[in-house]
Amino acid sequence: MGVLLTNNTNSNAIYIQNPELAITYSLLSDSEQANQFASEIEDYLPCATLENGMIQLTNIKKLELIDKYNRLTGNAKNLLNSMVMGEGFSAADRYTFLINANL
Amino acid sequence: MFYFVIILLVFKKNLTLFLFLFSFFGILISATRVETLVRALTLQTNFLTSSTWFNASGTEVVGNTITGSPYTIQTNGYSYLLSVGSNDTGSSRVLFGAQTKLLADEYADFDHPNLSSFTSVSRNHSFEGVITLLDTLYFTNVTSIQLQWGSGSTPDSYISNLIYSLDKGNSWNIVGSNQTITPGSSTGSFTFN
Repeated sequence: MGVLLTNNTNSNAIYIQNPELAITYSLLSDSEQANQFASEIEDYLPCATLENGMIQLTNIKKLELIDKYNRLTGNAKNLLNSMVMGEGFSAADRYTFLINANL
Repeated sequence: MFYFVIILLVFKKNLTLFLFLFSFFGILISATRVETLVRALTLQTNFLTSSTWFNASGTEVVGNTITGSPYTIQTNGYSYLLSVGSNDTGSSRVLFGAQTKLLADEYADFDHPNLSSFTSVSRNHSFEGVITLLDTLYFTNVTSIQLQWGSGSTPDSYISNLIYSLDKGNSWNIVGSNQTITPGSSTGSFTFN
């Protein structure tokens, strides 16, 4: 994220001395992190054509999911274990299934 | 009986005092906890000092006047992109943009290969530039972005837009609301909330 500047007067290009950015943010709670991650992995399948409304998992997306999972807090990862995502499996199970899928 | 009433009153007073103090400090404790849970964090760049500059070729650059935009600047553990400008360390001055047409040609419409991902947010204007965070903030809620400056040029004004990427900078999106800023000749800032 950042800012785009466009000269509005056409007179002098862009000219700003000593620019700085300050980005203020807050961290999501453990449950919010788990919910967000679970919501994302719920949309992906290794063979999406067999199921309407699903997104095909790619190797790039797989790496992105691994990266995101590693950024979750420990508590958020634990919450995925108790988050039911289908009959007999949790969000954590689905994550394991996705990252081990042969594409 | 009289003493019992006195003791009872004292007890009641103490109990009232206890409940009052408990509720008071309880609120404080609760407020502190809430504050901790939603504590705001701020990434503050420092391009002028405490930063390492890399030119368009990815080579670290040092010296009195650093040119070769667009730059990747590492500061406080994060990487940022400054699409055009220079670092005049001899004058303790970082310049965002350029006044000469020669330099402007280098970044008009983001035609530098390193800036190709920004063509989607270009306003197709000869003079435009970006300052962005290059790293991904995971599982966060960004509440504000502030652009600060030391000075600008008079009477220039700029249309400023928030831009963001959801795929590690491969593509960029623009937030529609145009904000006009006029840096003028003094320090200032503008905050997007």
